Amino acid sequence: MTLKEFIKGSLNKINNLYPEFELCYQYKNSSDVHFIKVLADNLLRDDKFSDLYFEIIDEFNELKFDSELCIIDNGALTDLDKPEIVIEAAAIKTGYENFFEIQGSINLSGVNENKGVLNEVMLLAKDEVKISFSGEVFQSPSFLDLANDERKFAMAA
Amino acid sequence: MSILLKKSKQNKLAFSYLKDKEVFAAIVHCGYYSCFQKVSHILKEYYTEEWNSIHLQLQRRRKGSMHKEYIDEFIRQFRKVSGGNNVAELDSNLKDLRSFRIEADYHEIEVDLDRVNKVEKYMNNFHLLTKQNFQV
Repeated sequence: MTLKEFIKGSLNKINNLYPEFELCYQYKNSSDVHFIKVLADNLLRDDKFSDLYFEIIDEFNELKFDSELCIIDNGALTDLDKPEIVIEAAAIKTGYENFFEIQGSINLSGVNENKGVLNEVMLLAKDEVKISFSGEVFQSPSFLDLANDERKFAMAA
Repeated sequence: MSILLKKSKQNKLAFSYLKDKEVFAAIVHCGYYSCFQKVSHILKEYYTEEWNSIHLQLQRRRKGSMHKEYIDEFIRQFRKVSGGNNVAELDSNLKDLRSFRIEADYHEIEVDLDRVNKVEKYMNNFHLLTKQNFQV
């Protein structure tokens, strides 16, 4: 397996488990480190993520690529200023308190010209609502703003 | 107290001193070495065979540093003693800090207060976990 194949495979694994988060990859020549960034807060403390984290790190070490792999989240020191690969978020999670507001303000068959087709709004848990899209995806920050504002969301949908 | 551990403590003190004085040029360096010297100490003290093996590799290679190997070995051992708690975060933090130390020392990277605070968080978290798991 080449390094490139490994990185793409690893990004896909993370994306399958966390489709709601954008992912970036960049190699830093200065420190010889391959960075994978998950654009999420405090993900490294998540037990579910921890298993996947070491599945990827252990495989990287076993393949002896002679460099370092570092998986980071939003709290990291390192900026990925020129990402070579970006996988955009395919679904967004938002707070429970927004669920009915969002559900009531959208047309499920509505097509947003710029953003893609809305698939579903689903209540996953008491404090978690998942909003997923097909086709092109929302940029996380702008969508979250959008989702938190009924009026803006209704205009966009 | 081992000399490595003493250096680690002094680098931690230097970090606080530099932060108080708002002198950020060398602060990442101090934060990183405060952690790395304790990593070296723990390996040397508790995992002598692994530590010797890394040193043998270094002698054969005759160039470059073995920071990556030290950190990887430390994390391998930490996973065993800690039962897996906080390990992903610690592994990521040490690698991120190692990489950023190089950028901060040698490249056109501004070390601002936000980053200083992140380094401090990494450093304090590392020292807390080593105290809990290795009593150092």
